[in-house]
Amino acid sequence: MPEIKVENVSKLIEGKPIVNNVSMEIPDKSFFCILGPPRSGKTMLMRLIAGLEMPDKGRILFDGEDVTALGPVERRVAIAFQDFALYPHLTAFDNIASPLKAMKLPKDEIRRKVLEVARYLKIEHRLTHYPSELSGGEKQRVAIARALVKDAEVILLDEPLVRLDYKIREDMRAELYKIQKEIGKNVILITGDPFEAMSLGERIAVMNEGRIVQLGTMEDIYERPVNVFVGRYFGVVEMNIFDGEIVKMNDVASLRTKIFEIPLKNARNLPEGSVKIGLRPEHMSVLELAGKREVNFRGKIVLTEVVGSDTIVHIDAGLGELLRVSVPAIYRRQIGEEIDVGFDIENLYIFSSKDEKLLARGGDLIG
Amino acid sequence: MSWKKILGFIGLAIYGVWTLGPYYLTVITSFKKLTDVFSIPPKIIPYADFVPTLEAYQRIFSTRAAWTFVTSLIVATIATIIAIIVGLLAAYGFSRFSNAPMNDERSFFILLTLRMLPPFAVVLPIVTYWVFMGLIDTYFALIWTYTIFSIPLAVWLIKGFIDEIPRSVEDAAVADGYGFGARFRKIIIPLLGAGLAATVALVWLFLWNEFLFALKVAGGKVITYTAYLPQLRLGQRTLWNVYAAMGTLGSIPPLIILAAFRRYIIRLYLGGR
Repeated sequence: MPEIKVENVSKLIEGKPIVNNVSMEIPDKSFFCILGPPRSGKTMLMRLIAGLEMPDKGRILFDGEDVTALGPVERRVAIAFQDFALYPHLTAFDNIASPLKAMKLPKDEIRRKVLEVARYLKIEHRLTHYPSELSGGEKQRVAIARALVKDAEVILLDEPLVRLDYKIREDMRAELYKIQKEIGKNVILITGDPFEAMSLGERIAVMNEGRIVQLGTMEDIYERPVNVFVGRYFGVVEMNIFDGEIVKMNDVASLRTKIFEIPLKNARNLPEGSVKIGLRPEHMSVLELAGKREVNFRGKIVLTEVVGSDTIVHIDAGLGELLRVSVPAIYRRQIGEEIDVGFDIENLYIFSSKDEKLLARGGDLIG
Repeated sequence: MSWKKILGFIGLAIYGVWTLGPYYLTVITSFKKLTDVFSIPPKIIPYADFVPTLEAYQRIFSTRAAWTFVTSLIVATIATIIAIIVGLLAAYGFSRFSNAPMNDERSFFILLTLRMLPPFAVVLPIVTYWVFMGLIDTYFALIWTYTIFSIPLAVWLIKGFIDEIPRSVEDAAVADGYGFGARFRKIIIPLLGAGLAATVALVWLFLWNEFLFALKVAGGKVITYTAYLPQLRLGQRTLWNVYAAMGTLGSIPPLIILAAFRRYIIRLYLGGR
């Protein structure tokens, strides 16, 4: 039951670092998420943890033991691949049995274990079929069954849901969580979908350009994104980012934008000058639906998108950038109409305009 | 029946006579006496025009000629086995270690160049080489030469098939605990399946039909049936009926192979893989 430690691990491909000096710890028996956009190095980091690749620098420890030179079997790692990676020439049964056959277990034990895991994943009626005869959801279940059957200590799931249909994805997501709780193993999920990471990961590592940008619980990352990238990326609807300025006169500081100005009480640590302001669409509201907020202004509707049961309203409020406002209802308005929107100061994020790092949250500045 | 279909049939009939006609003549010639071979008008219908005889076949099986088929079989089969094993591993390397130094189009091109040169361009140095080694006219020399010339073809064809196997399937096999050898036996080879079989058949066919190296690298003590054909003379006369009988016998293995693998061999020719 290992606690996994990644120490200064780098992996180069053709001289370019795909994973760049990554260090992190993954606590035992947790549901851990590695989240990142495409080409952020998340899959390579998974392959390094799995033992499918050797790092060029650094080492990987399982329970304090150096496993850097060991393969997936010695590390007792199981992997479910994004494209399922089932053996097309073998039936579902033989696919699931494959790791047990490699261990050379007796036949009846293999049979018992395969049936047990197949029953658990509700695919026992499909065991005689070949992968080409299975639906996407069934293939995924077979792939997960193959990972579970061998009693591995760590189960790595490489974007297990992207190849599935919307509805099956929902079911499977819930099931993955349940499975992890029931088997009590370390499950590491690699995903490019922030929503998936938010709903599954107990701890989340956000990757970008080969590095871990932020590691923490979902709440940590959502409430205090370390920089503009994480702020934008980690959210169901992308965070609004626009320019502002910290102005200090005598002892009075304020945050000024093109359309509003907010007095700040505790702005001692903030540098004067231009900053980037972040505001999540779900923290903004349309006044006619939600009543007045601390800061209110008018804007012209440019576009409304209905997403599920929410509506994303894109408005032009004269900030230079369009603002996205998330309305938790179906909200239909004519394009070009003017509406009043608002937000509370505690929900603001202030980022440096130089290195885009988080300087403060609105709540720190007024209380 | 539409005109298109009728025209199609006529076209195919002409093509059939054009291609199968000579083969028919070869087969019936193998059942003629030598005196019937050149008669004018030609005798083309057995029993009506001439009395079939097994004379030519008797001659083959009572002389060294029969043994030349065995030689062809031994040489082609051993060279094919070695070329396929080496080709399989090389193709795997070309396909899977694409980041390895020097694994690029150029090295692949150099490999194929050996195959593209006309055999006449390289036969002389190769013969010189074997003479120098003191191995001219041995099984070893002919098998070695055949192997070298078959590897590029094997690599080229097999690489295409390996490229089609997703890497993740192999990663899954690594994670399941299969070593390199087990992965080859349990995953790669079964998945190559018919494609590999067709490659084996094609490599073997080229060697079975090969003439120039058979004649020059061997062709004395060790002689394949193709190289033996020019020796079928009696004084000034060429024994055309025996010639035809050897051609008929020699065409049996290719016909069996083509019938068994025609779907895959067509795919190989059309797609280059």
